[in-house]
Amino acid sequence: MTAEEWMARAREAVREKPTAALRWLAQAGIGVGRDLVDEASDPHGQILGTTADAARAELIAVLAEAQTPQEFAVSVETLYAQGDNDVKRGVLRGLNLLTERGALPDETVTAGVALVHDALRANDPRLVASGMGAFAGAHLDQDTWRQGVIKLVFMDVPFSAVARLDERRDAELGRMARDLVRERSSAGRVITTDLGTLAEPIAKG
Amino acid sequence: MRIFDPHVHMSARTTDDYEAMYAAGVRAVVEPAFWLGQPRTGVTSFVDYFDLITGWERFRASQFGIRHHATIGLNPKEANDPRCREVMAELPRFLVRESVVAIGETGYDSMTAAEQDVFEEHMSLALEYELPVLVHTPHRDKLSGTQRTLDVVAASGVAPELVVVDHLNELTVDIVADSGCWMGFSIYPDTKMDEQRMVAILQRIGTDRILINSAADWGRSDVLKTLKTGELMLESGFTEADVDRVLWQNPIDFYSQSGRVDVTPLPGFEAFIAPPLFEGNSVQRGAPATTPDAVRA
Repeated sequence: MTAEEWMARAREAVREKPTAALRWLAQAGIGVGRDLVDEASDPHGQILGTTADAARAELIAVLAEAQTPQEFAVSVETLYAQGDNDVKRGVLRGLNLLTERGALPDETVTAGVALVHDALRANDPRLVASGMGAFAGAHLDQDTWRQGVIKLVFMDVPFSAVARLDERRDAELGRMARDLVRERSSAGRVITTDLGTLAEPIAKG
Repeated sequence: MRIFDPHVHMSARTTDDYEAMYAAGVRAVVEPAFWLGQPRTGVTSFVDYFDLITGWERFRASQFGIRHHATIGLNPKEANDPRCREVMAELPRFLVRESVVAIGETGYDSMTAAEQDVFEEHMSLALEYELPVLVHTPHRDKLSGTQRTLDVVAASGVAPELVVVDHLNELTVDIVADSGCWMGFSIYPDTKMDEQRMVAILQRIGTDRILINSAADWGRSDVLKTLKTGELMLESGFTEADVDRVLWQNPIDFYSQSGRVDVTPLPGFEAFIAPPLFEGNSVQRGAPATTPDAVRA
């Protein structure tokens, strides 16, 4: 079966029986492969991810179409709770995709914010990166969002993972970044370009 | 030498072990679910552990250039506790994960009725989810336990080539060889098998359907026993191709029956280790895609 055929089957299966979505999301890597979308610019799949990531996100979007907002909120919570980190990441990327496509129902936002909070507590850089995408850019509270940005510095994830960074960065995030620069400088550690830029005063535009 | 350790409990080990394993040529492992030393008292403890060996541990291994897979099951020791048996209902959601390449460890510990029931349930799940099975044989009463294990496998409907019967020795290997199941050997510093005894068995029965593992965990064990066995094989007259067959290709052949094994190099790691030559022929068509690794043994 080709990747396209697998995806067509998965879309249909999720539409027909939304409660069976876990098995399709879990096995997307086998179905469509796990090739990096852009190995040159994203060698660890933290930003653009893999073909499987894209397939899972698309299946989440299919699920959103197939269910009421209340049902969909339960679905994303369940898939995230029952899935491994690949599936969790797929759920978050699906929420990012839906955010890019238009406004989300309140039920989806409430469920999604709780999932992003969970993702930002994790130690898997790809999960944290997915949790800082378009959905968080639009819906995550400022305190948690700042912590997420700084956590990415610790995980060596580039800021291209952060949606709406220029729009949302504020004086407090600048202060946190400068403190971190001081701490790392005194320890003789490397200051990444991302961190250095974040520590600079925000240009008044 | 390229090595796939088909049975190692990495969550009980350190990052130093991962570094030493990578340096020794280990590029892939399977971590079977087992007991923690401290008995569990409820389902949530299992669920978190299954998430650990299919999540965090897989990621941790990847940071050291090693592909990590898991097997999922309720181990026989804990199958006797009714509080633990409730986890059987939770297994399906783990069995669909891409990181899960088999069901296990299952089998007998004290050969109780409860262990028998749980073992049979695992075999049914293997049929339903089309997965191989890793079967542990009891440390006490091993020969009789192994025979009973094979009886359960034969009655289950699961094809013998989908089953590995592990922790074998000189006394139990022949009945497993005759059954058509794969034969697993755990090489330990001072219990189960050692390298010398393992090589003697290989000299007697050959390299087909043999899996050699360190079964390293929180007890006295050595994650490099696979390498040491491979080295002794070479010293004892086996070819590099024989060693590669046992330590690399056999684990891939067995676990690939799940459709989920991934031994491609991890991004950022020089994972290429040249396969051995057979009379000067690498059996590859054309030049290898990557440059040889300094790790090459």
